[in-house]
This record gives sequence, structure tokens and C-alpha cells, in this order.
Amino acid sequence: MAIHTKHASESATAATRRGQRLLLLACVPLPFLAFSWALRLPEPFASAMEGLRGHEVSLRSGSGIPREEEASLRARLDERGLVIVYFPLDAIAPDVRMPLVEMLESRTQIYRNLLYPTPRDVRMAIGSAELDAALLGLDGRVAVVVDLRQDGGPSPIATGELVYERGEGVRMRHWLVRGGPR
Amino acid sequence: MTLQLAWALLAPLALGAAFLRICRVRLRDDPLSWFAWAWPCGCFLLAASLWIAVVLSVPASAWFVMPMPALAALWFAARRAVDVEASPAAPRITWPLRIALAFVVVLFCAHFAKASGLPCLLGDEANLWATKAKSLLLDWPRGEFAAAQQFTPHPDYPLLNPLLQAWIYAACDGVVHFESRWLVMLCGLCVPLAVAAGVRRCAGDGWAAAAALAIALEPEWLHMTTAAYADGMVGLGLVIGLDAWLREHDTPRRAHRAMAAMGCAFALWSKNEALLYLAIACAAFAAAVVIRRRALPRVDARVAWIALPLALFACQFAWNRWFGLSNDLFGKGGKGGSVPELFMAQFADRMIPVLDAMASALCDPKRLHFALALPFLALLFLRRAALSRALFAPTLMLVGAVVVLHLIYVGSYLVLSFHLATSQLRVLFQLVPAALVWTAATARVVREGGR
Repeated sequence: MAIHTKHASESATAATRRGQRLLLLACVPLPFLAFSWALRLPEPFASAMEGLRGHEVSLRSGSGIPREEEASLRARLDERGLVIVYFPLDAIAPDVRMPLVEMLESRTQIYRNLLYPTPRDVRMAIGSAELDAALLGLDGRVAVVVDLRQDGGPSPIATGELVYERGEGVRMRHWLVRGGPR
Repeated sequence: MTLQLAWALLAPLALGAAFLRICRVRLRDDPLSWFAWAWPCGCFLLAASLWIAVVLSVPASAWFVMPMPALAALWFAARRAVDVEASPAAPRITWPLRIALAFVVVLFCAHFAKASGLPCLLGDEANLWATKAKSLLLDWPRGEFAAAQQFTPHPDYPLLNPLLQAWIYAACDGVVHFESRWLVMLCGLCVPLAVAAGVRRCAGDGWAAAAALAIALEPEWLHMTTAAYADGMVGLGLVIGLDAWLREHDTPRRAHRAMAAMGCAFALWSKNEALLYLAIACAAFAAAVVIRRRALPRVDARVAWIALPLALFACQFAWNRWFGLSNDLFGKGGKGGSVPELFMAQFADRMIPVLDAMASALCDPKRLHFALALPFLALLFLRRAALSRALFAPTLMLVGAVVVLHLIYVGSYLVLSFHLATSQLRVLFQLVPAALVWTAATARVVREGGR
């Protein structure tokens, strides 16, 4: 009985010692954490000032979409309408293509989330084939193609009507399309 | 509008306070737990009453009255619950912990100010959660809710977060791009408070202060408190559920059972990953009953609280079936096949990179995710403590959750590097608050010589 008790207490002590070692091991990353905390600490306080500019200013600078452009889109489209963010990447080299696709994806998200529900449907077209495909399903709805080409070429859609243009900074034109494909 | 916004913020707190009153969790006994628990309980009850409003097609302009009947019912029930044993009083909060918590609140204010300069227009925050909220507010009254779900990346995701954002839209008379995050951001503030409340019970105020600071200085907490993602809400639900589960093992009380159920339900209604975690925890519990021959709890009024997460799961399931919404990874909408099909096809190519990513995340000493490595180590070196009565299911849940989360990347239709980069650390962080409380509880078992 005494031997059993002694064995039990020894194994309990060994387990406790093992546990303490493991806990010490768990504390090893703490100095690294403390150092990285110290480096991160100023960041939230520095960027807190950005929040004091007022919501309208923050919305416009955060979205990159001026009030007039938003009003122009809302005036021309109803909830069933379609916005197509267009920038052809056919001629772009593959190594620079991916960041541009990501940038266009972000622009598309911003238009969708700013305008919802007028309209709900916002898509991206990175080539003329994709633009055609998007316009094929128009089925009597009204669409606005947000043309981000910087070279100022002619309308990408034969029946497109220029309804908005912005020249300063990033060049942008809106082409209104009614009905079927070009 | 200012009055309506004030009510929008006060209503969850009032509902949460009333719920805790029923459970006899008193502010003066345990202020830290009270603050950490009242807000998520209130948000849950508010969202439940709004869900009823949505289903009954109550116009959004009248939503502000919806919490009132719930509030009245809760206060009435609280008056009848005076014979319920109060939750045990916690020791007074010491100054180091007070200072740490004050620092957490100051940091939260800085994050809050930062978020006021960032419109909710990008990422899952906007594409998924805010779009669902807008759809509940604008599309539901015209019967277009189901059709509008095609514009969200995960149509089947649960509604707690969108309902909380829709509540703010209703209070602001339309879609807003900043204020809509407020209730969700305040859930983020509750995470370090809930962790501190759980850790101090097992390891004292010093470790609680360290744990709260560790959470608050982690970049993932910045996301939780500057954006309206639901990952922080899952983490909050899990840590509350685990803490209450451990408290119930120490001192059985109605408050602990209620909070364990509320924590699980809150996590379950926040994001689909919680379903995975709780399924693993249930399997672990069943394994404990079968392998270790532990007695099943007696089915009486004490286990009735389990009905809360079960009922919630049934309602959310019925909702998705009603509208035909399925998961983009597991459902019919999966691109190139469902997760199990893709898992088999991509196993050879993806398994090693996924294991590598998992090891990198768990071994990075600069990130708090290393806390998730501790349950693995404990299973190797501290089996007795890690698989003790109270910790058996939580340990296996944490280990299983980390493994299964990574297996999903093997079967994902997304490009692996993109999927890992955009979600791995964020999703894993859902488990970190619970892992910190688990570590404190395991350390206590070890200190006490195992049980």
C-alpha cells in the first residue's frame, strides 16, 4: 500500500514537473511578442487621425468615387441595371496582369458596395469578349460601362452614349447602353 | 437620428443586462465577466427579435420597438428568478489588471477612430456581411431576398452579423458605410475582456492582464475592432462557452449553463466555422462517454439550455432550406466539385504546402497563434491534465479544429496561396481566445497535480 502511494506521488510529481517545463516552454515566445507589440503600438494611434476627417470626406477618399459620379450612376440606373467596370488587359504582359486584375476587382467591389441596391449587379470586364458576354445578358435592362482606359479611344460599344467624363487624375468615362449587345 | 442611434446602442446592453439578471450574474459580484458577457448576450437577443421582425415583414421603420417586448419579458422573468443561486463572486480586480484593461479600452478607442475613416466597401466585410444586411433591409420587403443572395460570396452564412448591421441601417434610415460596424466592433472589444475573465479565474490577475494585452496587441484584433467581420464574434462565443463550461465543472450554477449555451449559440450564429468546432466538441464528448465510460449527464432541467444552440441551428438550417441557399464549398454551387471531391483530387499537390503553412502559423513566435500549438504539445506531454474531466472535450476540440480547418484548404476550389493568404491567420484566430483560457485551465490542473 505504502509502495503504491509512493509510486502515485512520484508520478504526480513528475507530471507536475513536466507540466511546469511545458509552461516555461510556452513562455519562450513572450519576449518576441513583447518586441513585436512595441513595434506595432504607434500604428493605431497614428491612423486614428484619419477618422476625424468626417464621413463624407472619408467616403469619397476611401472609395475614389466623387459624389457627382455616384449621382450620375444612380440617376441613370434602376435596381435591375448593370454596371460594368471595363479595362482591357488583353495586351498586358502576364507578369503585370495579376496586380491590375486585383486592382480592377477592388474597383468593382467598391462600385457594388457603394451603389447597392441601385443597381445590385456590378461586374468586371478585362477584355472585349467579357464585355460582350456581360452585355449579351442585358435583356432590355440599362447598363453603364465604366471605361477606365487611359488612352481615350472610341466607345467600346457601338451604341454607347457618353454620359459622364472625368479627366483629372485617373481618366474615366461612362457609356450608357440600352438593350442588347453592341 | 441621434436618439435612434443612442437607442440602437443601448438596446443590446439593456437586453444583455436583463438576461444576466435572469441568470443571477451580478455586476457587483464579477464586473469583468458581466461586461464581457452582457454585450454579446444582448446582441444575440436583439438579432433574434429582429429576425422575428423580418420574418413577420415588420417595416424597418418600426424595428426600433422590437427589442421592447423582449426586454419586458426578460425583466419580468428576472423578477421571478430570485430563488436562483447567484454566480459566485469573483475577487476584486487588482490594479495591474485594471491598468491593462484601461489600456485595452484606450486602444479600442484608437481603432474606433481609425474605422471612422475607412468606409465599409471592400472585402468580405462589405461583399458578404454588409450586403446581406442591406438585403435584409431593402430586398426582404419586396420578396427579393433569395434572388439577391447571388450577389454575396457565401449565401448560406448565418445572420447574426447582418442583422446587427441591418439594425443600425434601420436606426440611420438607410444604408450607412461607417456606423453599421459599431455593434460588431463592440463584440471585438468584449474578446480581451472575456479572455481576461476566463484566465484570471484559473491563473490570477497577472496572467489575465497579460492575456488581455496579448489579444489587444495582435494584428487580428485590429481587424476585429476596425471592421465588421464575424471572426471575432466566433472567437467571443467560443471563449465565453469554454469559460462557462469550465466554471460549471467547478461550481454548477444556472448562470454557467446559460452562458455555455449562449456562447455556443452566439458562435454558431456568427459564422459556419463554429458548426465545425462544436461538432468536433460533441464528438469528443461522445468519445469521453464511450471510451472513458463517463456517465451521461442526467436529462433534467439543467441540460435544457442545450436547446438554445440546437434551436438556433435548426432555425438557420430551415432558413437556408427555405431559400435554397447552399454552401459554396460543400454545396452544389461548389466550383469544380465539392470539398470532399476536390480533397481527393488535390491531396497529393496540396497536403505538404498546407502542413507547412499550418506549422508556420503555429510556430511563429511573433504571433499569438502559437497558443494553438499548446494543446498539441499537451496531448504529447501532459495527457493526464489535457484529457482531465473538464478539459477532455475542449482539448480535442482545439486540436481537431486546427487540423480540420487546414484540411479544408486541401479541398478548396480557390487558388491555395490566395486562400491561405486571405483567411488562414484570420480564421485560426477564432480559436486563439479559447486557447488562452484553455492554457490557463490546463496550467491550473498541472499545478494542482492533475485531476
